[in-house]
Amino acid sequence: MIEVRGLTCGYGEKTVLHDINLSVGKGEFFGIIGPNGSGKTTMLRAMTRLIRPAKGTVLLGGIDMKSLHTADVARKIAVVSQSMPLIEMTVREFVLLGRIPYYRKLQFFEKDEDTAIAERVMEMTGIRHLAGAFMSEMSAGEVQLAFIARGLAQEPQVLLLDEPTSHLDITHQAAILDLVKRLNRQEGLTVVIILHDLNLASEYCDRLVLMDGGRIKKVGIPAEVLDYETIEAVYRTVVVVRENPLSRKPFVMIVSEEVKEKCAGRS
Amino acid sequence: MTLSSATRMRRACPVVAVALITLCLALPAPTAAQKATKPLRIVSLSPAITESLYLLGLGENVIGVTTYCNKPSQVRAKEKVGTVIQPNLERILKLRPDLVLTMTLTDPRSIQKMRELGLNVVTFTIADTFSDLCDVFLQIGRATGRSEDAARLVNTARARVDAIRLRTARLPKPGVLVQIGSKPFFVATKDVFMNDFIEFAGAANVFRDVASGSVSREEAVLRDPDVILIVTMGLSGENERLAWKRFPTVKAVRNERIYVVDSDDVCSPTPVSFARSLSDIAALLHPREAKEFR
Amino acid sequence: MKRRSMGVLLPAACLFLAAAAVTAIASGSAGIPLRKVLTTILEGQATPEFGILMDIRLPRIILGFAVGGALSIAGVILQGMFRNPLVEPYTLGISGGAALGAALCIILKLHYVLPVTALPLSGFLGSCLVILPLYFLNMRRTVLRMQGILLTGVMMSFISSSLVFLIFAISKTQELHSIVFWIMGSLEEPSWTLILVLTAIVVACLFASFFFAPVLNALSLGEEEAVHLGIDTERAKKQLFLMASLLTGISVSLTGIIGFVGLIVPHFVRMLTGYDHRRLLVVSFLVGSGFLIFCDTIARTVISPIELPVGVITGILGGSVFIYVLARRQGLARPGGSL
Repeated sequence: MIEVRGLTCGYGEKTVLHDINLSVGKGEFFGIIGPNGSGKTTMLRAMTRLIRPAKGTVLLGGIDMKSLHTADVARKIAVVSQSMPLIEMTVREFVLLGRIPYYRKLQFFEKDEDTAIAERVMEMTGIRHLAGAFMSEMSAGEVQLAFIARGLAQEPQVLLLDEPTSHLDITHQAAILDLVKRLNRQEGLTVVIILHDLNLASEYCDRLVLMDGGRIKKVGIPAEVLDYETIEAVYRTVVVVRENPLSRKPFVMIVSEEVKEKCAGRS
Repeated sequence: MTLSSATRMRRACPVVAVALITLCLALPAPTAAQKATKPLRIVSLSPAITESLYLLGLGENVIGVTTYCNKPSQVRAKEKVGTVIQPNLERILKLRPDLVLTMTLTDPRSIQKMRELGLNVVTFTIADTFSDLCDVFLQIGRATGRSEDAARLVNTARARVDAIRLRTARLPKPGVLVQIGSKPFFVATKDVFMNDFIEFAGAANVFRDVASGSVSREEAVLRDPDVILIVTMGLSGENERLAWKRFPTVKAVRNERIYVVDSDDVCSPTPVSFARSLSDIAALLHPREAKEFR
Repeated sequence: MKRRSMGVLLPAACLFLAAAAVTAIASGSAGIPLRKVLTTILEGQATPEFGILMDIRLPRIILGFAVGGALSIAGVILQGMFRNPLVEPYTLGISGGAALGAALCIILKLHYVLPVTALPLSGFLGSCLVILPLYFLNMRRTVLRMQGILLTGVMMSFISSSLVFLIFAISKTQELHSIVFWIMGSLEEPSWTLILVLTAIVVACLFASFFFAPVLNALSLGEEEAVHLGIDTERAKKQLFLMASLLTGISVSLTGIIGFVGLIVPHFVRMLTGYDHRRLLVVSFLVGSGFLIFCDTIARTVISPIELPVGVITGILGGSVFIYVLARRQGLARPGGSL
């Protein structure tokens, strides 16, 4: 679905990503993990053409993204971020903005089709009852759901999410990731998601890519990527990896200083 | 061929003569007839013009003035049609004037608008010298059909001014500074008619040579005038006079020759008021010969 | 202030505009009562009253309609692009450039050479003198930097006003007066041609802006989000910037500086229509036109025969009403209370 070949890019003079080669298959739930500053967000921006690559290409469905118009890209890829709109608007108005890529040249009112789609995605994300409320009145979890709804309104093939759960409690974390997983499995939506919680990434993602200093450290299924040597090398902290008894996926445990000293003392 | 043209001319002469005479008798004398049937309705958009109109005996004909017009005192009762710069077009139009007289100070857009509305607008340039002042006065006379009165008044004023000039020519010339602004400090240069006042009154403008009047007080102190005239254009004259006490080295301050002159008298004058103010100023500048000038 | 639907707002705004126009045509120092207005227009062709209505009041109403609408739309566009509520058409220094152009025209006495067009033309060229550098200085590899435009614009505003003060210092009294009065803003314009040309351009821009409404809606989320929604933000920014600058430049060059309309009207209308630019643009245009016409009527009549500069009234009236509405709104925002 998405193929990255030899991508080198950055901001102005500074190069952030070096020679990235990656491919995300159709219908995959793909996770991007790595320490702060390793280039995860930059990678996402390169995939949406916000950043022009200095070298290399990004292919979307086999087509070079350079040749695609921004509206074409928006009909295929939807980005879910967190930036709260500064301007007062209702949830429905916000979700309807997701239909903009489908507006014809001279159209400036929504068609019935657009309103129907908006209602459907709000139903899917469970915020239909909040349609008339203002965005500023919603909780963080509800806002995130609205962003996902807007993304779904774009009727995309790929959903890109940038740390959608870092600021939420575990209830909402689970709810949102379950929703996205459902969309992935039932609607066939390809998902590329940046997560900083390694365990959530392990639990939900089909494949992971671990970034370090703008380069790919490792790509593969969670069991391959999340072994303690690799993690210690990249994150420079002591961890222990065990298998989660219910899902049989790797589970990463942080070793605190106290514990380290106790273990050292015992041996 | 010359012969036939000469014959033709000889035959034409009497015909032409008769035609001309008939024409002269048949056409009515326009100004005389109009003056007799309808008084001229005049709107004045400048205090100087208003004063001039009264001098020409046209006080009754003035139907609209600006809010700044206050001389002579009868003017206060006249209808106000706006300020010098921004005339109120609706009021003017409603008064149906025959003539609107303005200075170039008035917004040119308003002047053009009045012309487009069909009004007869005559614009005079603001005078910088006494002779320009006389020219403008004569123009006003011509525009209102009072050329003779205007000429008479101008000649009288000119005579008076010349007499003063003659007398002061033989007197020693004091250096004069004319202050017309305090925040910021502003003096009269040679490009305003204040300069004529000074020179005709037999004095020298210490700031004759500068291009713009916004000079520093330092420069003024350096040039050490014998006399300082403070023109009260919205200034508090007394405060300004006291402010000069900070510079006791200046001759004018030492000898207490700082005089406050009312701006109404010296700004926007007519030739007549010019002559009057000139004699007052000459008396100030030459106190020993003051009696001769009053 | 509750949000109202377009079914209520659009007729209300049109009514407001109509009321302002009717009040304007019936008010003035000549005191023509409303009943007489209609008869004068239909029958009294030769009377001075007819001249007053058609040649003095009507052009002012039309100019007020055009300029009030132009400044409001420019304000909506700029506030949407910059996502900054304090931005108005004059923040970018366009008015400063126009004032500089007009001041130069007056001291070089060009308006005696070309009476009708010199002053507006100089004003417009002056505003271009600001717009073009603003545009090109802030283009980095085909990307138009919005924050750069704002800062550069404010600086250019300061520079041009300082230059205007420089001109004040070296000019003669009568020139000084003319420049000051031009800057203070007035709907007095003798040339019907210029008024009608301006009105045509403004109405064309209003229709053009409709097509940018969805773009503006997307831009209000931020440039990055707008790209995600498929908007070609670079092209959109350039077109919108140029349109807003054009509207401001031609308005200022014809009428001088009439402030606050471009700032207050969008804010006020946004409280009623919400952020959606499809409603905001139209209603702002109508309310802005009506507002300016209304302020001009007050400026002409409140201390007749002296005419106040219309910018004085827009500032005082507009600012006060806005503060009142804002205070009431915040006062109602008690916990649990609805706005």
